[in-house]
Amino acid sequence: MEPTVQEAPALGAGYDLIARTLLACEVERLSGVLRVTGEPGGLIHLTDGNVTAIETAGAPGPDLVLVRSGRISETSWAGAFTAAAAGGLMGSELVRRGLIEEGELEAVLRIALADAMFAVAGGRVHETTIEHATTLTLLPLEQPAAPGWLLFETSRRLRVLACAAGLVRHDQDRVTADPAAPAAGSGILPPGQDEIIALANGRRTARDMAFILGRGVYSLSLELTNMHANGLVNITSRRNIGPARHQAAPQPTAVPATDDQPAAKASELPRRHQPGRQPRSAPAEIRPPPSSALLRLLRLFPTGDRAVLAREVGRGSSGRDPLSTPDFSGSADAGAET
Amino acid sequence: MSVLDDSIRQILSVEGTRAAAVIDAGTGMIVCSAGELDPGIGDAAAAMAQEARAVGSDESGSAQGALEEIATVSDRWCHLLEVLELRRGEGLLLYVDVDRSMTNVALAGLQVRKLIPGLLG
Repeated sequence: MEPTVQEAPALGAGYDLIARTLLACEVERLSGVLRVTGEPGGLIHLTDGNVTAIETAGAPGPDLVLVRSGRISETSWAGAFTAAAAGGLMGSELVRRGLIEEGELEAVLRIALADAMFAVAGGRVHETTIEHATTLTLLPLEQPAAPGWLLFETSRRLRVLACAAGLVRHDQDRVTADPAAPAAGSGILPPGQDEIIALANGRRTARDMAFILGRGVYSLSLELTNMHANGLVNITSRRNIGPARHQAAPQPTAVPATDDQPAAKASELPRRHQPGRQPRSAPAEIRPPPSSALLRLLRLFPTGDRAVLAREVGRGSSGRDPLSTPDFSGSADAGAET
Repeated sequence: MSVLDDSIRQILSVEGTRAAAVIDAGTGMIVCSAGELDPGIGDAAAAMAQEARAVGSDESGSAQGALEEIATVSDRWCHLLEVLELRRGEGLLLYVDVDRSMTNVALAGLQVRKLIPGLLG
């Protein structure tokens, strides 16, 4: 039976907004990116109105799922990544090297896609923006998913969690193992719960654990909710993810410059005024402090090479180089613990 | 048509099989399906996945042994849940709906299991 969107119940303004926009994109057969602004927000990549990939900070992508779950070793992944960077497709390269079967890869991609959609639609959604320019993703679905199927699955998940007793919110609730719970590694609990107990230290949410373990956020929420209902874990604190859009304070807008008044930037903080002291003018060039590692690094290079170095440093600080090999050695672990 | 869709259609070639689906064990999501699925299969799939997680061990050398199949049988139908991959509470399951009036359940199960090794290929 082909699921229909009409079966999905009303599940919040965020879900409704995404559903409306996605279905409009399907009707228009849009190819591009649907940018969802919010917490966690994300980028929904579309081809002819169907979804090929979703990038979000709310759920681990298929690359993390494949490596951290142990399906593919980091060394093998790095080798395939290097080969695919030369112009091939990552998915085809993984299959060609025999690291994963084609059908299994497709299943992993579809599961990760549904998990990402759950994280985006289940979080705070401020607004959606359609960008017609298409961008490449590392592991897109070769047969894109229909928005109706994706929305149906997301609504099912939201409905299940809404009715669950002892709900552990995937992006907010930090959990601790109950003192009476079997210790991690004792072999009493199933492996899927044992590794959760080992991570339940009161500083991690289900989302944090999903990134560390390479498991789905929804799957971990279900598992943690069951464990919470059975007294194996306790919710010890709640992460503040900020106010919803309708509660947010109005954003300051840029004031246009006039002849006698300089332009006021919206991002500028109000200046502190001290009686009897004249405000200092900003230096023409912001220099790093003498102890800065960057300055020491600059001293090692001749003047001619500094421009190249500055570009490299700038690219590294502005975002991850899309062609660089992802680091799975624990960076997401640190980043996930928010 | 995707590789997975193509593979799942092969299951329907087994006599007496009315529907088949690949289910995500961690979430109960139907990853792909073929045939005439019952309208309530969504909730049933989630329940079956939960059952597999509860009773399934992923260690073939463990005292419990590795879970291979869960069968639910009525006087008219048989629902087979075959484990394709299960570790740490996550993996893939194959759901097959067999019409008992059309075939022998044991024979259908045997033929389905023969097709499993090539299902994800």
